[in-house]
Amino acid sequence: MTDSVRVHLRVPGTAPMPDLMALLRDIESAGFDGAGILDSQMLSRDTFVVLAQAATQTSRMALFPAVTNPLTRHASVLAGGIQTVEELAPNRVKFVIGTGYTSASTIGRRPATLAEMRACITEVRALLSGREVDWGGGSRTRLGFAATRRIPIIMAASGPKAIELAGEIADGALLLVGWNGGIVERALEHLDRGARRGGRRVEDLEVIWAVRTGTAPTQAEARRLARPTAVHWGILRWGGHWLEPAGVRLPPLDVPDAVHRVYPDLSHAHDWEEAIRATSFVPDDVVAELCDALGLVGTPAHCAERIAEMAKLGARHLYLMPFQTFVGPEHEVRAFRDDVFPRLAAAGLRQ
Amino acid sequence: MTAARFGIVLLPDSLAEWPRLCRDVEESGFDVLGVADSQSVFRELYVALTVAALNTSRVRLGPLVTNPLTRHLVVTASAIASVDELAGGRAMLGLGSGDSAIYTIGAPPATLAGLEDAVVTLGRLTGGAAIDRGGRRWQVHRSERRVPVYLAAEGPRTLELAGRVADGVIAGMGLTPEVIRLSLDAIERGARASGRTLADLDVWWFAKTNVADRRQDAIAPITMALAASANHAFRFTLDGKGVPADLHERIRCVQREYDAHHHEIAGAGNAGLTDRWGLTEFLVDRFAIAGTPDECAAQIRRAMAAGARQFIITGFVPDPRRFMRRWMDEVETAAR
Repeated sequence: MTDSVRVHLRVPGTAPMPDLMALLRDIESAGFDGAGILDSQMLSRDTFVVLAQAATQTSRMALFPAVTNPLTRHASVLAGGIQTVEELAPNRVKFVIGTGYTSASTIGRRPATLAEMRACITEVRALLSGREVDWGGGSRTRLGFAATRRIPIIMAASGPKAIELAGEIADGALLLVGWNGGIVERALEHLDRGARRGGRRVEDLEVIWAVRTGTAPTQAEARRLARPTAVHWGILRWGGHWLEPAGVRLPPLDVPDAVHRVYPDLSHAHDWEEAIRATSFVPDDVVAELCDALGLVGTPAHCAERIAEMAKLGARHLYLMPFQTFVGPEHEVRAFRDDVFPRLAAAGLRQ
Repeated sequence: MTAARFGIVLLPDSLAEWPRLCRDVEESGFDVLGVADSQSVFRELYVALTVAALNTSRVRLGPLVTNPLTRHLVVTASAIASVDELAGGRAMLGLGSGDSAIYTIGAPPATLAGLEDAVVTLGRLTGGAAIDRGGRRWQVHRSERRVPVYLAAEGPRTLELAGRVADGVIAGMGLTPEVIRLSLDAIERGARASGRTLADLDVWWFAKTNVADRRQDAIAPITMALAASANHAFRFTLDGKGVPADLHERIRCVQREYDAHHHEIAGAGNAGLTDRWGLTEFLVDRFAIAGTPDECAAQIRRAMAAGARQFIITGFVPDPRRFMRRWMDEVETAAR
C-alpha cells in the first residue's frame, strides 16, 4: 500500500539488555516499521552495542541510532559503525544524525553548529560511498569496507535553519518540531527551501515526523503524564518560532527554579512524578493546547484520529517518542498493537 | 614453572565468519579475546565485541586496543560497560595512545598526560562514579562493575605510567630477556609509586605470532605485523629501549614508509618493509613468537625465564582458526 502510515518507535537503552532485546522483538512483532535507539552515552546503553544486538534479534524492521551526533565520535567512527550494523541487518539501517541534545549537554558541550553538521554529513556520506576524505595535513582515508547500498543519511532538525540544511544535503529529515497542521506546513516550507538550494525537490526526501507520544485511558491522564515534555518543549525550548504556526498563544509564565533542578532536564527526568510536580506553574488548559500541538497525547482512539487527520496533510511517516527515558515504551507498544494500529488498518492507513 | 596463559587479538575484517571465530577462541582454550580498533580498516569495535560477547561464555574480552581520541571518553565508558553487561562481567578495556585509528585521520597520538587521564577517568566511569569535569557531572548511570583498564605500553615511561595507574599492562616493548627485564623494572617503579607491587598488576606480553612447519613459512605471512611493531613501538623515541644503535636509521626508514591505511593487512604495502631494510630477523627476535611449534615453545620458555607468563598473541594470519588450533594443540603443549 503506497499511502500507508509508517510508524517507528524510539527506544531508550536504559533497561537491562535482556529486557531491551525482548522489547525490540515485541516492537517488531507488534507491527512497528522500525526502532530508533537512543544515543546518549550517560543515560543509555551504547547505541552501537544495542543496534548490533537488535540486528541479531529482529529480521524485518528498520534500525537506526536516534539520534547520533558529530561531537562524541569521529566521523570515521560513525561511518564505520553504521556500515558494520548494516552488514548485520542488510537494507534495514538508516543513519540519523542531529546536533546533539543530551549527548552534548551532559558532557558540557554545546550542540554542533550547522557548519559542523554539514562537514560531518559530507564526510560520512563520502566514506559510506567508498570515496576518500581529506582530513587535512595530508591525511586522506576511505572506508575500507564501504558497500554498494547507500545507507540513507537522515538529519534530525528542529529549527528552521537546520531543517533547510537537512533539505539541502541529507537524504531525509527527522523533524522534531511538533505535530499539527500549521507546524507541518511551515516545516515543509523550510525543507523545500533547503531542497531547492541543493537542486532537489522535497518529494525526493524521506521526511519523518518525530512525534511526542503518550497514550492513557483518559485525555486528562495522558495530558498529566505529558506535562514535563509539553512544558519543556512548548515553553522552555521552543522559543517563538513554532508557537505561531502551531496556533498557540502562551500566557505570561514565571518559570520556577524547581524546573531547572530536574536532572538532566524536564523531558529526560529520572523521577517523572517529580518532573510533573515541577510543571505545576502551567495551567491545565495551556498544557492541553501544547499537547495537541506537540504530538499524540490522549486515548488510543484520539491518537488514531490525529494520525488519520495528519495523514491527509501528507505526514505519513512517524517516529514516536514516548515521554520517558528511564521507563521503557512497553505501554505504547501494547497501545499501538492492540488499539491504534487496528484503528489505522480499519481506516485503510495500514495493512 | 607455571604454564603460560594466552589471549589472542583478532582483526574484525569481516563479520561473516566472526561468530565462529569467536567461538573458536574460547573452545581453543584462550583466556582473552581482544578486538582491534581501527575504524576505517576494520569493522566497528563495539559491534564486533557485541557479537563476540553473544558467542562466548568464558573468555574475557575487550578492545586491544582502543584510544582516547576517536570517541569521547564517556562514549567509550558507556560502550565497554554495555559490552560488560552483555558478557556477564567479562569485559576488559585495553587502551593505547592510538595507531592506525588516529594516523588515518591525521590526528596526533595521545600524550602521556592524556593517557593517564583516560585510564583514571575510564576506570571511575565504568565503576559508576560521578566525575566533575569543568562543572559538569560525568556519569555512566547504569554501570555496576568497574571494568579493568589495561594500558598498552611500548616504552619505559608509558610502562611506568601503566604500573602507576592501570589495572593491567599490555607490554609491547619486546620479548627478549633484556627487554622484558627493562619492562618489568619500569612497571614496578610505577607500581611502587602508587603503593602497589608488580603482583598487583595483570601483565600481558604482546607478541606477533605464527606457527608453521618451517620457520620461514611462519614469518613470511606476518612481516606486515612486524613492520607495524617497528613503526609503533619506536615512534616517539628509540632511547632506553635496548635497540642497537646501528639499527636506528633503518627503523626510521620503515617508519617513514609505513602506510597506516594498510595497517596489519597481510600482503599489502607494509609487508615488504622489514626485508627491504634488513630488519626482519631483529624484529622477529624482538617482537615475535614465530616458527615451528618447538621453536615457538622455546621462545615462550625464554620469555618466561625472564619473567613473562601471560601472552597476548596476534591472529593476523590468513587462516586464524587453523592457527589458533595449532597454537593451543602444539605450541602451548610443547611450552609446558
